[in-house]
Amino acid sequence: MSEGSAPAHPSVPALPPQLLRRRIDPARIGAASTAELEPVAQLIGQERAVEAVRFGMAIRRQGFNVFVLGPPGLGKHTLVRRFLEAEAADAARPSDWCYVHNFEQPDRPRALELPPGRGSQLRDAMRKLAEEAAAAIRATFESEEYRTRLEELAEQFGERERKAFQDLGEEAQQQGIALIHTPAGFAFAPIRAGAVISPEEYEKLPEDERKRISETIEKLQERLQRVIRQVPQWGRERRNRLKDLHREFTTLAVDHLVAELEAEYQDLPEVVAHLAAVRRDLIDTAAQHRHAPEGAPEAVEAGPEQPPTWLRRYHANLLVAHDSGLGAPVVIEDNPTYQNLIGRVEYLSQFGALVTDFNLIKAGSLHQANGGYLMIDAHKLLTQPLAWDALKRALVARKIQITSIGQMLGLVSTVSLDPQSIPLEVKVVLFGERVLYYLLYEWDPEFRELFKVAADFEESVALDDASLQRYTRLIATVAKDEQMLAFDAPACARILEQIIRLAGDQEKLSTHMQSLADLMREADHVARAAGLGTVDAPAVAAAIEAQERRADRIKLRMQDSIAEGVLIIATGGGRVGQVNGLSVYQIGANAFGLPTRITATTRLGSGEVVDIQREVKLGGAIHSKGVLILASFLGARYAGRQPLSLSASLSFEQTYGTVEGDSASLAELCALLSSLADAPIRQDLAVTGSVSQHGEVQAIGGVNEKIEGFFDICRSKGLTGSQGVVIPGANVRHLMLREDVVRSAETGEFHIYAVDTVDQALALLTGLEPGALDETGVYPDGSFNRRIADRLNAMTLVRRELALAHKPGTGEQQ
Amino acid sequence: MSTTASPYVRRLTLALDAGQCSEADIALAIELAALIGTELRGLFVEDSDLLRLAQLPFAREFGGQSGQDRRIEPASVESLLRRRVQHLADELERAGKQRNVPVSHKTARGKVVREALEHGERGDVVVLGRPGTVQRAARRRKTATAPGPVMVWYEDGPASGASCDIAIDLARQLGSGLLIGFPSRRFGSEADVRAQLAAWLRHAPAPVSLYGLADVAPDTLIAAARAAGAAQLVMTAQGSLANAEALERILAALGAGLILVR
Repeated sequence: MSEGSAPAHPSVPALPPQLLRRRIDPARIGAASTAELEPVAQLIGQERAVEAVRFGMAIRRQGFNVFVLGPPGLGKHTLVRRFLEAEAADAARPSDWCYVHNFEQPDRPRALELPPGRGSQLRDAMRKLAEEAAAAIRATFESEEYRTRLEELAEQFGERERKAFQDLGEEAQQQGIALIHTPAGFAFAPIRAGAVISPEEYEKLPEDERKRISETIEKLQERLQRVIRQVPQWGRERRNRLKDLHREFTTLAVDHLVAELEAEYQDLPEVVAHLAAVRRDLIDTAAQHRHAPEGAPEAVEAGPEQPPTWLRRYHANLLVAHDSGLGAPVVIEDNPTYQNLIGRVEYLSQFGALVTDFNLIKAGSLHQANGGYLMIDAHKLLTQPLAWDALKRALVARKIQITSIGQMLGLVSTVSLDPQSIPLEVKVVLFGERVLYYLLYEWDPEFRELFKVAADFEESVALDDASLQRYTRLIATVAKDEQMLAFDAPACARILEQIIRLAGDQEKLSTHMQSLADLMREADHVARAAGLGTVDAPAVAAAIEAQERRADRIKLRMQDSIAEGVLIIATGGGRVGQVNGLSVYQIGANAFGLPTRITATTRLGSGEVVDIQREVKLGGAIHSKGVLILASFLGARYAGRQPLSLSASLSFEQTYGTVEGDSASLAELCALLSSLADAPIRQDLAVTGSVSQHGEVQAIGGVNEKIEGFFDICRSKGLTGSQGVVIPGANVRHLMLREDVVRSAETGEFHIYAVDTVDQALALLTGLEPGALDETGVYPDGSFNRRIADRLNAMTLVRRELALAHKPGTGEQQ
Repeated sequence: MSTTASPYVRRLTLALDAGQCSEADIALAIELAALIGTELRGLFVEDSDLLRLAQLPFAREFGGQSGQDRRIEPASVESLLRRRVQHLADELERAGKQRNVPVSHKTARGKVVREALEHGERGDVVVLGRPGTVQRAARRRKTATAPGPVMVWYEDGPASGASCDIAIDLARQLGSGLLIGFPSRRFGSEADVRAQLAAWLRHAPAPVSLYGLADVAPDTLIAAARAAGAAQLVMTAQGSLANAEALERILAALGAGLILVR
């Protein structure tokens, strides 16, 4: 078969150019530019997802948190956030939360709930109370009245003790006995003339006098012991009286301060109870601190503004405040680590040790979102150690318990804080791809219990007048929101055509908002650079071309390889057992198509079809499935009455990577049949399509890229007017070809053919009639199928002869 | 504060009961010597009553905290007193070097007040220590208020001027007032005393108050000192109350220190 115009098969005409690309008439935009269009508040085509989100937010039952699923770029985050903010604005503001010192169990700080806006008031009030109490206590204990009372107390007890010893000494003196101070205490000794008598003088005393002295001293010693033993009791009594004194003065100093606050917070019993505890603690302990200067070494200091430690215990740590604004919180947690979610207890380094108190408890995003909504990216959450478990635990228990990772894992046993848990009422919205959702659904039973609402975002929406209008308004909305130039009607139409191409279907519009926004931004940039006041269609087209150019380096290098003959691709003539298949390459953001030379050989064998790609493990499972299917087709069509006596092998020539997918199975089948029939296949046509066991041609993906890929190769070598691509009929609706391809089709330089059966494809590729079985089960003479049948019959005969020739016991030998 | 030596003062003697005194007593005495500008002699008195007590066959010591009794052995008392005296001497030496005050020490055996009276010479100022648990506890009590006045017992005898000098210097050092006690039967009136002491009172820190005692006895002096909250008592060694018995009574009754000027 020679190059040049080869006629298309009459039963398979080329597709008319108008079917190759869906055109949007600018008149359908309904305005001269987007400046005249009203913005639209909601994304289009997401009614299912919106309904799910609305339901998830409205239902107030445990477990109805929401998982928003869909690929990135659909605007899921923006839609949900706007929806939540609107909902939250009408909701009640949730409570403020503070942590305060627990005087009974210092390692278990108490959580206080307050009406919104009063948390910061309490924090400020407690700080002021502590400062004023400290000043009042200092002043009280420095007052003359206190000192006088203190001295009176000391004097009273000192006098009592002194008098007791003095009285005893005087009593002893009256009986001629002296009370002597010894190094360790006291002793009694008889005296004469004001001095203790010597042992010699004592021995000279009469017996009865010595007896009297001994008895007197013994009685005095008993009295002395009683006095000495009373001293500790007096000491205890003195200390108790001192405590009472301190309590009395502290009460005078602080009572009115606390009472003021109690009156202010009388509507909050827990706060009042805490204030009572503060009062008790101040009264009990203030005396210990009355001399402590500010900034004393025992202070837990984080900086010059930190108060001494003993005052910090009276503060209130404002964990969550809702002072201003309206409604419930909407929190976006961008870094969902364990601690960022549930909060943490911080530590300060003090003289080589780590210290903490309730003031160093920090809120997590669950605290911030409590009473409202929390938005988290699922992938980020799942990749953070223990974060997912922590979130689930909080949602199941409906409370937030701050525990360090070390404590939770039992890795540390040092004394730390165990703050009181806080009740949790929150709606969590997770965002993630579908695969994540289904994996979690399959493997995590808790996930099903906690995230009962799936908001599934569509990737495309049906194209009709309503959706077209709405999408145009969406373009206007984006332009307005981002202060872009207005887009004129042709520009909008061009954008919509690109959106249709992204959807990959002439009857659909893609909902990938990120792609829309990026295209508009680039087009706006092109227009501004050109000094335009409005974005027009050429600016949009330039932006599209620029996007493609930025990503086409690898495509061009591969095209160059073909142009240079390194990769052998024929675009004219005919070859037996060789066909131009088409492959799509996805590299980064860019997808492009290129022809692939597929070859087939056939020989005598026993029916096996060897897929060389699979043999060397370069064929994926779906690709191998396609080869098995075409092998089954072969057997089903041609081996109904006799076994297949051929061996065939298929190869993707000059392909050194993995081949996957079954979109080349039609091409492979055609190559194989061409080899069997010894009928050349047109090399000016490329083929793409999946084939069933019954010879039906099935739809494939990437049809636009594949056609454009072969077009580019043909154009680089010079279009002959006969070149084109054979595609499945089911893919016609997916055509949204480049303008230059469509123009070439319009001028008859390039053609697209749609086929539904293998026979149609073979007719196009070989120019031969396929032929149908007659009533005797024979294909017509000269038909393609007849040539195959004849060849297979010949092979069968040869095989039979060979089998007979080697059969033992026949006596026949060749 | 007087930074020059008083013409009357030859030497400051700190008379202490060796078994009861402490480093704080020495430190206070060093400060006073530095204030007056004179040398300090430590007179460490080993209580003869204690030594005799230890020799008595029935002598038993009762612990000041526990009330538990035990036998007192003479050898252990002797040894204790020797060690204490050595320690006090070392402490005196150290404190003197630190404040650049010449020091010396002497050991005697007997009663503190009597030994202090016997070992002094004209020009000596004797500071008597404060024995007893009650007084020691009172001394350790901190007070941030201004101390009570320095009380001087004035009888217009020898060394009266020196005693007034010392009292005024002390009052300035302590930041307190001055209380002049006098026998009211000897002087006509308070005004007479003021007139007689005009030269000293010009340098006295305010306030200065006078208190006449009609009945000159240790108890009345004690009552007057207590009423005024006197922090220190200064008198001459030749005064009517400067006998051992009266001084012991005054020392035992007051928490203040007693300075005798010879």
